[in-house]
Amino acid sequence: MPERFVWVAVYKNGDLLFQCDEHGEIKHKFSEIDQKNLDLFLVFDRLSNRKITLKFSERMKLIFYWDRYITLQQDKEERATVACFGWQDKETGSKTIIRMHENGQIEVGDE
Amino acid sequence: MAATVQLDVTYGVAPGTEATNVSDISVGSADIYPLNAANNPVAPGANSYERYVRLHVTDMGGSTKINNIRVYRSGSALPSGIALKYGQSTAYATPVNTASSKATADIPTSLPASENLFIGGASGGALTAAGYSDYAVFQAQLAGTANAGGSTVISFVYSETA
Repeated sequence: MPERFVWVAVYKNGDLLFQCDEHGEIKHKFSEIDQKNLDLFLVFDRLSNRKITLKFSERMKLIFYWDRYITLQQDKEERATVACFGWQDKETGSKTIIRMHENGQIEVGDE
Repeated sequence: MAATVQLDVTYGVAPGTEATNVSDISVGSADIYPLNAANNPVAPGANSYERYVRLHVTDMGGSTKINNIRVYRSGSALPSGIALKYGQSTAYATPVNTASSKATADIPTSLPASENLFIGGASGGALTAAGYSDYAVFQAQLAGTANAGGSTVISFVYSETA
């Protein structure tokens, strides 16, 4: 199944690195992002076209993963994904995580 | 493509029988699968048989890591006198309907802040290829005054990195 929440890395020289192709298939891994030359980190909800942009700085260590939910109620199963992304402050170690839900809800918190 | 992940139930006399890719982990007065809870009710003052469930990654699908598994329940409160206990185990053992030595804590009622179902027996574990989590163990424990009925919503949440 194609990914709904995907990222795009924008480098200081204007180059772009897309996590997925236009069909939502993963083409690049998170570890491929060159964080030394990163300017912006964008996360898209491909269904709603919402996007969140992080302005990157040298103090930030980038974080991105999906939280996958398998929910069981009696004999019914539902699945959902939450995009989790943010940064760790290299000096303080504190993490700031943005959680982007399928229902449009956005949470920002420390971890 | 996302990783392919399912839930598997193990039941019966150890080493047990596996039911794969399940969507129902009901507990009751019998150690069987599938289990119709209405036909296998737990009497007041008794316990259900333990239910062993584990997360099974069958295909990483291009992702590099799966970790940070959290298990909790949500939805309406359980009926008076019914407690749903939760714990984990690295190994399967024949389920018991005496008080579980593995499912000893009340299951969390919201998303835990940190993992409570390990991979490889210790916190911080991860799957980087097809494989299993440790076993999540559930048991319903009923007081003598417990009211009939009760169902809940159980969620397994894992983090996936690509």
